[in-house]
This record gives sequence, C-alpha cells and structure tokens, in this order.
Amino acid sequence: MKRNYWLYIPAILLSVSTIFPVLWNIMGGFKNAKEASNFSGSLFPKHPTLNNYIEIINSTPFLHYMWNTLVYAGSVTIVALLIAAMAGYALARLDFPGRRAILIGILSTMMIPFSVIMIPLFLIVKSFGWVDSLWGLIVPSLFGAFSVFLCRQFFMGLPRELEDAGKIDGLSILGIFFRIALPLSRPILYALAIFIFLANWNSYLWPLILLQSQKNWVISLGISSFSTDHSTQWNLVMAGTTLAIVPTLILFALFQRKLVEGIKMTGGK
Amino acid sequence: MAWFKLGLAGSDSPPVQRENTRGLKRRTREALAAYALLAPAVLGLVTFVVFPMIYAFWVSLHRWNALSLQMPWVGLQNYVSSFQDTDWLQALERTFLYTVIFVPSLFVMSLILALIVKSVPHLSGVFRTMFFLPVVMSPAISGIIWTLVYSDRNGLINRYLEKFGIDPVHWLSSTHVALVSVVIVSVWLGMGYFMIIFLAGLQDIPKQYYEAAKIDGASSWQSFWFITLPNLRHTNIFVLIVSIIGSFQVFDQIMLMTGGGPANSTTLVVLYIFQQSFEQYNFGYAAALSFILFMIILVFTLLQVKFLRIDEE
Repeated sequence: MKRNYWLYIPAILLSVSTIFPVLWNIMGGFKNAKEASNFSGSLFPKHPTLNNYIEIINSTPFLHYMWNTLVYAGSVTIVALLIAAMAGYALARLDFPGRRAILIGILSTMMIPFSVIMIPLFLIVKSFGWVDSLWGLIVPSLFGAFSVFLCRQFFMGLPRELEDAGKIDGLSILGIFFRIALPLSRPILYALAIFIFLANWNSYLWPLILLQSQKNWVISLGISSFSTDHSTQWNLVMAGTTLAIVPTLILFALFQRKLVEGIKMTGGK
Repeated sequence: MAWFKLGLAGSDSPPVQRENTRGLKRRTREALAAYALLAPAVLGLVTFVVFPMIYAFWVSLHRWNALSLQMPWVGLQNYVSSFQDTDWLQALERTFLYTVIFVPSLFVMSLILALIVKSVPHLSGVFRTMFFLPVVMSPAISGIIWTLVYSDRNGLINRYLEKFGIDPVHWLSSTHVALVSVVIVSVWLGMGYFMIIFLAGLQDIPKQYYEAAKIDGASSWQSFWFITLPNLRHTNIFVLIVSIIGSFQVFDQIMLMTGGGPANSTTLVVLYIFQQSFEQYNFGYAAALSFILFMIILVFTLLQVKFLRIDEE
C-alpha cells in the first residue's frame, strides 16, 4: 500500500483546529481576567490560577446545578435503560398477539421530533403539576423508541442457548429476562447508557421551557445565565464552561471506543 | 426442548391432554410476560409522544393565547395565517438556506475526516479521537464557547486574522455572516458522528476493488470517484437524510450564540416556534407552525424509510 505521508498536513491542521476552541477555553479558565480576554497567541496561562473556579463556586450555586443535572441524567439513564431493555427483549424473543403492530407503532414514534410536541408536552406536564420540578424533567425523558429498537436488534443477535438452559432449569420468562438476558446484554447497555446520559446532561431546550426557579436549574441553564451576566469576564465564563464540560470529557476519555461502536450500530446497518 | 420438560412434569392426568393445556397456558403466560415487559415503554410513549402529537393538532385548531382563558375554535385559520406571517416565511426561508449550506458542508467535511483517518499511515486513532471530541460536547455550552471564539475584538479567530493583517470579521454581529458562522458550529458539532458512520461504510468496501483499479492504472482520484463514492451509496443516503432532518430542528447553539439575531438573520423555524409559544404565549398558532414543521420533516423521514428499504431488497 502507498504511504500517504502528505496526509499528515491536513490531518494535523484539521485535528488541531477542531479541538483548539475547547483547549483555548479550558486554558482560559486558568488565566486571570486580563490574559483570558486578551489572547496573545499563547495557549498556556502565564500565571496559572484557580481563582476563577473558587469565585464561581463561592458566588453561584454551580455545584448545585451540577448535582441537579447528575440526578436528572443519572436517574433517566438507569430507568430508561431498563424500560428499553424490557421492551426490546419482549419484541425480540417472545411470541404474542399484536407483536408486529406494537413494533411498528413504537418505531413510528421516532418520526415525531421533540420540537413538534414541546408545547403539548409542556401542557401535559403542567397538568401533572410537574412544571419547575425535576420530575417534569425526568419522566418525559424516560421513553425512547430508538433505545427500544437498539435493544431489540441486540437481543435478536444473541444466541438462544443460554436462555433455553434457563428454561430447563425452570426459570419463568421474567426470570430468564432478568437473570440471563439482561446480564448478557451488558455491552449494548453500556454504550446506550453513555448516549442517554450525554443526551440528558447536554439537554437545554426542555429544561429552558420547564424550569423557572434557580434551585431547580440544570447546568446548561446555569451556565447560560452566568455567561450572560458575566459576558465581559471571559476568565469566569471559560472556567464555568470548563466545569460544565468536565463530566462529558471524562466520559469521552473513558468510553470513546464504546461510543464509536455504538454509533456504528446506529448507522442504518 | 420444551416438549421434553412438559413430558416429565406431573403425573395426575393423561399425558397427551396435559401437554395440550400446558402448551396453551405456556402461550398465555408468554403473552402476559410480553405485555408486562412492554407496558412501561408503550404507556410512556403513548403519554409523552403520541398523545402530545394529537393534542398539538387539536391545539392548533384553536386561537389560544396562554394568558387568556378563552380558547375559541378557529379551524384551519392558524394554518392560513402562517402563509401571511412574513416572519414565519422568512424563518422557513432561512432554514432552507441553512440546510443548503449545512448539509453539503457536513457531508464533505465528515467524508474528508473519515478518509484522512482511514488513509493516514500512523496515528489514525489519535486523529479520530480529536475529530470525534465535539460529538460529546453540549450544543448549548459549545454555543457559549464559540461566542467567545467569534467575538469581534478579542475573539480567537479575529486575533489570528489580525496577525495575518486581515480585517476582523463580524462573525455574529453581521446579518450576512451570522448564518454561516452558525453553520460552522453545527458542522463542528456533527462531523465526528458522521465521520464514524463513513468509516463504517468505508470498511465494508472490499479491498480487491481498489487493487483491481490500481492494476488498471486508475489514479487515486479516479478510484475515489468510481469505487469509494458509489459503494458508499447506502451511507451517503443515511448521512444526507439524517442531517437534513437534524438541520430543521437546530436550536440550542443558535439560541446561545445569537438568540436569532442580528435582525432575525438566524431565526430558524424551531427558534421562531419557541418565541411564538414560550415568549408570546401564542400556543394555538405555534402548535400549527409545529405541525407544518412536522410535515416537512415527515417527507424526509419517509424518503429515508423508502430508500433504505430499496437498498435492502
């Protein structure tokens, strides 16, 4: 095979410019006010400081926003996974009247984008008394047709032998699902878990519609209001956005491979 | 295996008949277990997706401002009014313009990144990781970061332009440039995802095709044009349609970078619907606009289903 060494030029140019805004932002969080808003070309801070972080944490409920987001994204992830795996298993393995109709019904909800139903969803959640509460954030986010579909595809590809062994041992259908199929589906569940967690950690529009009081805010609302209030203090904005992306960067560093595998599965293959 | 277990179980009735009733019971039990497993997902999707959809249509047939208690039935009046609402028509037009710039840029960029990662002699994993990073970034927070990057005087880009003696560009404050600036951020956010999709597609092209082309004396440009692209057909359609659908729904990064400005030049459809519903409280009218958006997206969704099915046959 031909060695395309010239490819390093576009590869380096493009990859550096891709991550540069993020790097610049992270480094800015460690600079003082003057240096952060007056970029001289040097990425690294001349006098690294943690003052921006200390100021943010002391003067705003930033950690509280992050906690809210963690509770929200974390609980959605766990419950949504279970719901999707249960439904996916039934559709993949069990025989029952209406199976095809239910599958098509679930899949066709994928055609409905969030932006189309945000108004009625707000009205429904309001009638439940969940406006401005974490419940209103969590409950509507638990149900995803795509997760069900992904789990179904996974279970269909799983060999049946282990489940048959469970049947011989006298396990009920639910027993087989919880004791055998669910533990076997760990690989897909990990990938799906990261997707669901990221989507909810990063979500902005629904919290913006739903949440009013500051004590219920999630991180995206907190940081957007903070950056409007401190638009001239770039050191603080940069430190705040850095704090907000730390969890996503950690997930990225740990599970990049799983994410990539997960995306390959979504590519209509 | 099931018959074996049934044959052994119990001994108080004739085996043939017992097998029959046990068989029936087993099927009922299986159906019951299936419904129990499906119940949360189905109930949830009905309550929070299907019902809202029907509800949205019902709301769209009323003149309803959330600040008033009255909610008169107006039939299709809201839909008719949308055709006279120049702000809405402009938002639609801007969204089409956004799509026309965004979709090809995203397509070309993702494909270039995939080809680089695939063909670079070493360190392809490192490059892939760097290209992939924006995928995990929150669009909202990226909007904030890019606002600084685009800033008129001290922004990252204008600082570099200054070094090369180029006049600063008003990335977000000029009505001509803002839409393009927004597209750049959207491409940045999405290209890593589609790069992975392209990489998966490239993997499936048999190496022999390229070897055969080489023996026939094809240049690398020719083998890209006549082997790579046609063999990516399935992937190309997926990328195009998914990115078109996504481009009609963009909101977060725009809201935080420009809020729709300057002079509404980046007010795209979802932003306009958001303003109509949650700033003006015109729920009835905004619901009608949502439905129009749904119809547009539906066309592309059905196209996708159709194309991918044809491909499978």
